[in-house]
Amino acid sequence: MAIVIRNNIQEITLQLLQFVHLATKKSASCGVILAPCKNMNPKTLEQAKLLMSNNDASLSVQFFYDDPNQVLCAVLDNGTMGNTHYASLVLKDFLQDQHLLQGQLIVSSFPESGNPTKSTIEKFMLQAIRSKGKEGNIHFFTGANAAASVLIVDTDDIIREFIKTRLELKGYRVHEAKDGQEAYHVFVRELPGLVITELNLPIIDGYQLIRKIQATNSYEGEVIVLTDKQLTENMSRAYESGAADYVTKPLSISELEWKIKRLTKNN
Amino acid sequence: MRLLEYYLQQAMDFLRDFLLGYGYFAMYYGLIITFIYFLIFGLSIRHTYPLQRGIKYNRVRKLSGSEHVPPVSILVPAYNEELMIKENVRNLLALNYPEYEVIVVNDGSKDDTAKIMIDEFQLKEIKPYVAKHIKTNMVRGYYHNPEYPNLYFIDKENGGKADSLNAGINLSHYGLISTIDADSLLEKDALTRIARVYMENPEDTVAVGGNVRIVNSCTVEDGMVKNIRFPKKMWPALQNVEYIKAFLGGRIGWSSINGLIIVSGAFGVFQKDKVIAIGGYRGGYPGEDMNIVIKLHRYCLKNNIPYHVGFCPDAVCWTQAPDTYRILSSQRMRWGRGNLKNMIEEGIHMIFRPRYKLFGWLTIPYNILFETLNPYIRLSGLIAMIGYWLLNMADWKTVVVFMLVNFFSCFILSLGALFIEEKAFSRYPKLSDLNKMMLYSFLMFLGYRQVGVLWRFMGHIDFFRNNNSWGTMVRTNFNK
Repeated sequence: MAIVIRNNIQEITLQLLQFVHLATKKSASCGVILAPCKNMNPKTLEQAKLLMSNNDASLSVQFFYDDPNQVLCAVLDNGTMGNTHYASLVLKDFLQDQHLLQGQLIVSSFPESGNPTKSTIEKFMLQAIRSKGKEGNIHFFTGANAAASVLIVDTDDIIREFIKTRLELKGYRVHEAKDGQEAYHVFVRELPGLVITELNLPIIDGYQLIRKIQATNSYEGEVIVLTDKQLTENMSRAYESGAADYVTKPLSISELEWKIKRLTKNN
Repeated sequence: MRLLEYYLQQAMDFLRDFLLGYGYFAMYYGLIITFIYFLIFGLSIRHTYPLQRGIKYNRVRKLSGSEHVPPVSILVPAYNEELMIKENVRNLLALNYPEYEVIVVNDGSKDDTAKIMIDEFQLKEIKPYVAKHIKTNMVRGYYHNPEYPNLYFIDKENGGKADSLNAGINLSHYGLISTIDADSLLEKDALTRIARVYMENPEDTVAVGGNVRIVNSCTVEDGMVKNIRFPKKMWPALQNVEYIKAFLGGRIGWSSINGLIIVSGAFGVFQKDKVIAIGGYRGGYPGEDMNIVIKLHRYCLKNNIPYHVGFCPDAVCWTQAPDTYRILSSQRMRWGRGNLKNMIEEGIHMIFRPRYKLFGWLTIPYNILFETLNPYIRLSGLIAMIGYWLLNMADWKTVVVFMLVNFFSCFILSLGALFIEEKAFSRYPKLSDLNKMMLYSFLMFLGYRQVGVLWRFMGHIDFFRNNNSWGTMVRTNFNK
């Protein structure tokens, strides 16, 4: 029995791998949504496809349904982590309305979440199959070999640019924001693996930003605080809000880099 | 008939003597005022160098997170500020300063100031412990939201700016208070810079004033002044050079001899216990910012408390200058009224009293003679001129020489203030702005200073007619 299941997974893994390779050859990136579903028929597949292309015309979606494992795969050409996440929200609503969803939606994007190797795709698939029976929300899959993305939030242009340059040289993808509001928008769009934030921010302050980030379902990244504030109450309030680490300015860039490295590895 | 002629002759002689005497008086008046101007300006220049060094070696960023910086309660009185209050409070909540609280006091506004504050920050009414240092008008409620732990909002019945400040003092939790106008923008590290001046001598420094600059024509982004430009319109431009002259050419010098008579209401820091000791802010009259400083001087000198009133020119608060004749004149008349009231209430009790030392011997006489009474001297001078002309006493050459000397000495002082600005601060990056500043320093003498005197005089008339309104100030958004 075990062997049969194993074979089934291998079959769909190879199939998905082929899709991903085709898609990444055609365009820069490829988003994939996996959803454990039952009783999918061609008609509902067609409906879902129509709905998603109405939602975002720039993404061409391909669906295929694997009967033995009962997993619905959606492959999105040009899908980055951000817009695949958006698409998955639409798909989730659709599947839940039809009472088809049986587990969690697992979202990933290649090569953003890692190189699409066989073992990566297999892990991805296993995560979807194992989520059966759990509550239907959205999760992200990141391969072990993914380039981590970092969001830097600071009002000071020079500090942002400095850290950005250093981190990009080390192979991170870096996003920037100059106030709390903008930071949250960028965060929702990009879902970076790590957020580095100042506490002293206009509109939404650092503590509120951290709390909003921590309240985001399914987000598994971490927040590092990088701030001028050196008082113990600021530090404990930041940790209370959910920060993973606290670095004070004037910053030592190597200290920051090591902390980033450690936190992104833990993920 | 002969008798009449005789008396007429006598009267004419008396008039001549009187006018001659007045001429001497006016000459000495002019000489002394010019001497004091140059003295103060010399002191300003002399103290620019240590100031500049202090600014250069000041580790503002390090201080702004340090636990050694004293906590400050920022008091923001707001009356009909619905247009600006949201941005300003957000700006104040994001200052680079380790420990501070922002207390916004709604002074019974007729617009939606209170509603906007409560909605925007989701404030809930609280029942805090409030000290009763100073009596104030009825407070309707205290508001707070744990999400913004350092923001408090007081809603109270209308009682004027001073009353709002007093209500803020009663609620404040820290030993230093800072007053800020709700229409002004504080630079992010202004409070840190002012705190540095305070920390140099925390026992004795009872008050520190900040520098006020004019924001008209600058661009403001996220509550920060981004592009600093010289005002494009005429009235703000004239006020800009006037402010630079008063703050850099004047207040640096006055503070160096501890004779500073005013800490601008737009931005200043005070020791709370001293403010309470003198009974808080005086209500019911404009000029409360000068009043509080005079009272601090008086209190400390009377009780032999060593003290210092400092000025911190690198701590900048940006304010909107009135840009129409009507609003500017009402502002200046208010200032004139407040100044006169302060001099009658406090000044004449301190003038030439040995107990009040330099403050009583120089600052107060200077302010009474050359500021408060200035319009009368000018007006009488004008009348005397007509008299000289009618009696054929005028030596036009001397008059012209005198006027030119006077003009150039004042112009040199204006240029000197610009020199301090460029040397120590140079906040205007464009060279054309510097040219404009020089041009306006010159244009100031062609009418602006004269109407200034007129406004002050009209303010005095208002004072004697007991017209005690705050006058109009129309708020507009920044970035226009």
